[in-house]
Amino acid sequence: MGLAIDLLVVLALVAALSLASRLLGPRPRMEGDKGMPYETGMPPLAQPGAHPWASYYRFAVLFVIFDVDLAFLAPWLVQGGRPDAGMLVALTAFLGLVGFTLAYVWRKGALEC
Amino acid sequence: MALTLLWTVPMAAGLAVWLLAPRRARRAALGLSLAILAYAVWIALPFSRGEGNLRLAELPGPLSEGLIHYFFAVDSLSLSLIWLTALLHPLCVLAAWSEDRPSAYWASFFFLEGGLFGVFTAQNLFYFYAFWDFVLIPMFFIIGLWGSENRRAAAVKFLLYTFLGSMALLAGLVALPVLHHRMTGIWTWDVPGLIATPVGATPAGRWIFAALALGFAVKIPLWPLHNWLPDAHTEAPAGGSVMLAGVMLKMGVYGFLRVILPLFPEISRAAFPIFGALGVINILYGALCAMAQTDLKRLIAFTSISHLGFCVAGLFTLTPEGLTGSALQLINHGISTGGLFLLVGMLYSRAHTRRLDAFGELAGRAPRLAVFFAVILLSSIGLPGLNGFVGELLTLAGLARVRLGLAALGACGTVLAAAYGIPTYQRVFFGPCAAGSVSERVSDLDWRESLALAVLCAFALGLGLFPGPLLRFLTPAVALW
Amino acid sequence: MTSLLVAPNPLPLLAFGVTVLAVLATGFARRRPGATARTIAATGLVVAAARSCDPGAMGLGAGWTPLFVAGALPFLALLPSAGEVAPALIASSVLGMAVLAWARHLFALFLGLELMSLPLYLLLARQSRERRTLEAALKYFFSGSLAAGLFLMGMALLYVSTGSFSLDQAVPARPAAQLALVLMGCAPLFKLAAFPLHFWLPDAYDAASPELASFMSTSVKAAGALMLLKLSVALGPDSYLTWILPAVGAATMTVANLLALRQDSLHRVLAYSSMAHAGTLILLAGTGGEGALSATAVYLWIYLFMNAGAWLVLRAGGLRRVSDLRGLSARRPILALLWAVVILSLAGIPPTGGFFAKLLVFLAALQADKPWAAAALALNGLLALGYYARLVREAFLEAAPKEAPAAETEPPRLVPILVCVCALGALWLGLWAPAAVGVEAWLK
Repeated sequence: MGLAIDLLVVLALVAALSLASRLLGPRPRMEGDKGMPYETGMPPLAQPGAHPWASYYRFAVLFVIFDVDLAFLAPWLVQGGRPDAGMLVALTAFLGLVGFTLAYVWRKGALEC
Repeated sequence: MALTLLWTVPMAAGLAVWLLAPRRARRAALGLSLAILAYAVWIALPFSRGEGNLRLAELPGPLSEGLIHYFFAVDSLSLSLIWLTALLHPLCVLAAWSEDRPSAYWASFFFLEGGLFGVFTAQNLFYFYAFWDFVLIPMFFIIGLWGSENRRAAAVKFLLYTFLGSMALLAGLVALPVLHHRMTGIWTWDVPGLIATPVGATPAGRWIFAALALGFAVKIPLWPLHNWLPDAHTEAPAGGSVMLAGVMLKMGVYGFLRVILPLFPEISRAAFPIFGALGVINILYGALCAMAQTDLKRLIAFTSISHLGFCVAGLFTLTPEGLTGSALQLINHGISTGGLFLLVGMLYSRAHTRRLDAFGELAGRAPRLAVFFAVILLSSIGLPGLNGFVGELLTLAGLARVRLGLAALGACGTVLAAAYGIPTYQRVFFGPCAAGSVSERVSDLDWRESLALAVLCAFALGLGLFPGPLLRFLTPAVALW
Repeated sequence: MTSLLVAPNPLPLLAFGVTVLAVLATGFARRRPGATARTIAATGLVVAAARSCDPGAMGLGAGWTPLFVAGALPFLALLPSAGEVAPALIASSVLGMAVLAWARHLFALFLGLELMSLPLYLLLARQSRERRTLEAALKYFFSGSLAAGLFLMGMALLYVSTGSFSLDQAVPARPAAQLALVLMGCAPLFKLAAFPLHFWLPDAYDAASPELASFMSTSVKAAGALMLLKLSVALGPDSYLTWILPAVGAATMTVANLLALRQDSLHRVLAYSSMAHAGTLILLAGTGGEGALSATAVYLWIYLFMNAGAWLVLRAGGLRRVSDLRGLSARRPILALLWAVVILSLAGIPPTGGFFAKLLVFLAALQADKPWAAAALALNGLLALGYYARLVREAFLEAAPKEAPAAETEPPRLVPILVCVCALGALWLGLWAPAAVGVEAWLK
């Protein structure tokens, strides 16, 4: 019960603060440097239209997937690379799936530029 | 087995009739409905007089525990209503003979009949409710597909309004075994099982009573839940109106007699002021509204409301006269109102109008129609010698034993009945007829229609002169005082 | 391994997984796979579902996988034969549902939830290139991710308060733990489109093809209901959920029925109808007590038949707007009759299966001492009949339009057969189930 009251207080506080900020604060205006792309504070080096093409997301997603796959291998690496039976089975299955994914993606031509 | 056949054979007959060509379907409908009538009479032959308790029970084996339990049985009240249904069905077929109806029309009446038989024989409340809701479907299609100009709206209104009652009924019916289990630890949904342990005494019992009463009251219909009836009756085809008014309205009163009064005796006794008053309001309100109508069918619809008010008022008196009179009035009303709707249907199929002022001088043009109309109308009004009188007299006598004032008001209803009935008859049959009015198109009844009406008139006269046997037959089933 | 799933028989899950891989493997072939992929998917799913009914397969939800597969089969069968992606997505979604069913550990539950949902977003987005479709898919995706986020937050809170991720042990009555489970409950409530998390539903179902909508409204709802039941079993009999769930269910039903009354698009009417049934399911889950699992399973099987039947009628007739129904009884009488059967079943009119399903919920609500829930159910039954009667009226009572409807592309021959199966199934269940199913065994 007390937790519920805590929650309610938190929500009310957050809502009140946001509302107050929105009502009392200055109107957000997009002026000067605010609209420029962020490059750690430096003036942007790239031209406005030269960002990567939209289908670059393919490579981004594939990178993330395989990167995370690598992260799953970390426990085995930490153990020093000596597998026992269960872990061997699990790793084989896992790497097999990863390999299958790679093969599928390759076959479908998603790796072409 | 016999009772299972009673509700399954009409369903199967309906499917069979549906598949035939319209002409052949018509003949098959007549033959099959007469066969079902014969069967309904035959299964009751071993029913000895004086024992109104549940007989011919269908059980799957020894009476086992369980909620949903195939328990069908009849007593004399159920049987009378079954006979009424089985009788009215072939009469509907005969009356609609000359109209050009598709096979689905004839089939719908069989489905309706099967469902009604199920309602009147089910003792397990699951099956009772299942059949109760099921009969809405054929009637919806009968009104909606083959009715008059406003049939679509009337059909939907009928469905939704009565479903309101059904929902309340379901809530109450489901609460009964739950409460029963809480009190006794046994799961049962059979009416006899539930009667054994009275749930009416508990505080929740009041709510259940209210829910059940609401559900049944919509069907009767009890004022102020009567609004669906005029539209549904007016827009339905003649046969549909006959079944609707003749039998389906009785389902509500049957529900009171079968479910509410046995299970909630004390609450029913205490609720007499409400229901007695509502019944009398029905009588007077229906009569007064009938006097104001210009549409013949709508007028008769309101007379239905009025006559069922007698039933309800007599029912809750819980006196011998009131209860037997109420049960008898069910049968009487079925016969007289069924006859009235048949007659109006015949008029409509000839003249294509139901407006009162369109008719006149029909007595000369259609003498047979005039005679039958007179007998049925007088039976409906309650002329001594015809069946309506006995029912009304008994219910008013029962009412007088408990509250004389209400009985006096109810008696005014009979006067009002004459006040709307006689002038209507005079206007239609003896009144002036403008030249070129539809009355000239009204030919007299052919032999099929005359036969149908003659049967009903015979019953009206017979029950009016000799109500004793039927009363003695019904008494054990309604012995709830 | 054994803490994540219910050992010792993880074979059915493997079967589902192998199915997915096999379907994808058909993509390696030189030509586009077409019917091969669909067949492999369907066979694999059916075999896996059959294996999961073995006596050796244990687990709270093991018997539910046939339900998930049955919901997916019409969609699989009606896919245009264009590649292996869609069958693979469907198989993955069912795999996710199976993982959800077997899960005993919260990670597995989450895994199953996401594995089920992500292919659905993709399937919805792949329907067409229209903006409406993409908008609906995006809405579904974002709100689904929100629900997943809430689930993760609840999971973290539960770990903080109890130190365990397992669902097997009863959650202690500490408010933090209870709150955690309520938060986690938001995820299945979202999947079930409970009020107030339902706003994605009408757009998604409107943009989806009828068979996808059928899959979404049957299998996904079943998975959501199962997840909800698992959480409420973990919470124990006396918890917040015993009044939150009925309240949410009643609110969902009412909102859905009110919104459905004014719709012009058939997809939206059926979407709100499925939301109303979801509300009834939530009510059943909240009031069911010990028998909630069995009662919900029976309800869902009946619902599968009548709901899939309704959507498939839309497919068979090429119907999109409510006014498209006019003249159906003249054009295609048998289809109109089957339509009447499924609609009356959805409305809960005897002797169809929908009536028995509704009866179960009434019994559960009254047995759990919640008459207000029963009253809400009764009222909603009436409200729902308002639009169900309208659907029947349009099909039967209204005259056919003057000009013939636009020539629709002929649906596959399989569709009317499936409609027959569904409608007759709904009818048969209504006649058989009351006598065969011992209802009183589920009530306390």
